[in-house]
Order: sequence, then structure tokens, then C-alpha cells
Amino acid sequence: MRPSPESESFEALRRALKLKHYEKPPPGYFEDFPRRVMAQIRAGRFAEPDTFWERLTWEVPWLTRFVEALFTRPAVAMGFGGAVCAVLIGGLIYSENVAFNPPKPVTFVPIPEAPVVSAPAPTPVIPSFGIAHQSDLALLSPLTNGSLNPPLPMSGSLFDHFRVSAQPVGFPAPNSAP
Amino acid sequence: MTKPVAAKPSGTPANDPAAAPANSTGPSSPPPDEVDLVRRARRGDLEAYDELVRRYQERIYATIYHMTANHEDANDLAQETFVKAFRALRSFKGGSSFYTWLYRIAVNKTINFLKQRRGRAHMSLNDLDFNAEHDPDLMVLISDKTPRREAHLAELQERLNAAMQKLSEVHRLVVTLHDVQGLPHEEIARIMDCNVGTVRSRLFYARQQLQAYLSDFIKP
Repeated sequence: MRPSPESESFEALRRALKLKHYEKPPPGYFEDFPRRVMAQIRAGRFAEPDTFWERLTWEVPWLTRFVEALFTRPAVAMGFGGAVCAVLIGGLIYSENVAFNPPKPVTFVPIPEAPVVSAPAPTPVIPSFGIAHQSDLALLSPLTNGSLNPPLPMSGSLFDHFRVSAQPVGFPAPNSAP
Repeated sequence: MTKPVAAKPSGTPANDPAAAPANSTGPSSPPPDEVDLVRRARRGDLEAYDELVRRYQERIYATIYHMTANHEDANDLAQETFVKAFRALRSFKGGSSFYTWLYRIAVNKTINFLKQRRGRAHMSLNDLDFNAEHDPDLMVLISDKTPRREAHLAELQERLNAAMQKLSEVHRLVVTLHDVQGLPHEEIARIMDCNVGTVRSRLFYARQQLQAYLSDFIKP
């Protein structure tokens, strides 16, 4: 069994270490020290944030100990590596065993039109936007909750509604000679 | 608040000039007004914080200095420690004593600094107090080298610091906190966020290493 620090004689070393008690900073150093600290606090120096590692060592001490153990203890590193591999292999096996269920396609469900009661009211003019195929409507369905009411009429051009038919205008020609 | 620590650290000399202030206002028995000072400082009272700085500056500086063996680095890091502590006071929940919390900031800063500085270390040692020449414990070590006591003490100082720099950061920290600063194992465990057994085993290993490095200077 290992002896305790007190049971083994380190008397000579203790005497030598006593020398360090006599190492003193320059005279007057501690009289001036608080003033310098206060000046820095007032001036807002050291206001820059700590480095990431400094914050980590201060706020998450167990994590830094763990990282150090990874580098200094092979058993910890092996255990951690094995655990990571196990998770990866387990994930692969799980993903292969689970059947792939593709998501159901969104269906277009037209809402039935309101029944006509009597004489048809003048319907507002709804310009057609030239949606040519049903698939175009399906694209709109996520935005319109899968329904459009009333369904847009199919047509070929955006300007169909404004198409003007031209008629020849005949102006009587004036008599050529009196 | 702080748990009372009954055990006096072994190996703390009774006439230890550095340990004396640590024992008088030690971490195990915070003065009654400390809680009030911390509360006022949290509200932004700089006078209260100035008092806290005066109270702990020597111990924080000494810890960092013994870790870095460089006065300029210790000066910068000690100032940064107190400035950071002031900024972070709002996050101080009072789960430990202010002293322990402050120490943890200093220790984390110093260890991060030493990791970045690794391989580029150079010592800038403080002068020895003239009382060192009259310390009987030190005279035992250099008695056969008299009459040039001063030169031999300076040589021992350099060898001792060089040997400490060879230790890893955590081992150096344990020796500094226990054998130089006189903190009990329990307090060191709280500062280092580990258990007392770990502190003891690190201390034992560090002492063995130091003794080996200084084998020609000290006879076990």
C-alpha cells in the first residue's frame, strides 16, 4: 500500500520550500496593487469576453476534466471511442430495419359550390390566371389548404378575358367631284 | 457558507511569515463582515471591493507567483483575477466562500496561462527577504556552505523554482497551496474541484518528484 504524504519524511524538502516564503515582491507593491485593479475596473479594461476555452473551464469544469482524461488516460479514450462506435453501428442497424414510409401525396379536394337558389346573381368577374394543368393546382394546395373556391377556370392565356374583337369601321367616302 | 476545517495542515511552520496572514483571516473562518462586503461589491460598490482586494491580494499574488516563477506574469494574472472576479460577482452564488471562489478564478487563469506558455517559460524571481539568512531551517540546509550564505540561498532559490517548474501544473499547484501557502487538504480539494484523496496522492507524488530533482541539495 502507498504511504500517506505525512508518513514519509519530507522534512528536508519542507525546509527547502520554506525559502519560498521569503520571496517578496518589490517594496510598496501591495500598497499600489488595489489602486491599479480599481483603475482597470473603472476604465472598463478586460471588458472583452473570455476565450471560449476560458469560459468552458470556468462554467463546465467536468467537461474539461473529461477532455483531459481523454488525452491522458488510454482507458477513458478507448471507452469513449467504443461508445461512439456502438452508437454509430446501432444507428445504422436501426435505420436498415425500419421500413421506409414515403409521405402521402397531398390530394386536391375541391369544396362543393353553394347551391343556386334562384336567379343567378351577377357573378364577379374573376380573371383567369392561365393555370393550365391540374398539377399546377396541386402546387398551390399547401398554400391554400388544398382547396380553391371557386375553382379557377382553365384557359390558355392571361389576357383571354380582355380579348377585344375588332370590327371594320366603314367611313363613307366623300364624293369625289362636284 | 464555508465549512469549518478543523485540521491544521501538516508541515505548516509555526513561525511561517507567509502562512501567518493566511491563518489569521483564513478561508475556514471568514470575517463576519465579508458577506456584507461581497453583497455591497455585487451592487457595484467599489469601496467594498477595494477592501476585498486588500484582504486577499497577497495570497492570490503569491499563489500565482509560485506557479509561474515570474513576477511580471504574476502581477498581470493577479490583476486580471480581481478584475474578472468583480465582473463575475453576479454569478457568485455563495455556494462556497468568496475566498475559495476567488482562488478558483486565479487557479484557472494561471493554469490556462501556463498551458499557453508551455515551452516558453522563463523565470523572473523576486528578491529574498533578508530574514531568510536567519531562518534556522534554511541554515540547516546551507550550514556547510558558509560563510557565503546569501549566494547559496540565491542558488537554492533558483534550483527550487526550476524544480517546481518541472512539475505538472496540478502537482505544482498542490505543493504551492499546501506546502507553501499552508492550506488544508480539504480547502485545496474545494479549490481544485476534486476529492481529498486526489489531493493527498498528488501531493505525495509532487514531493517525491521535487525531492528527486533537488537530491544533491537536500538529503532526505
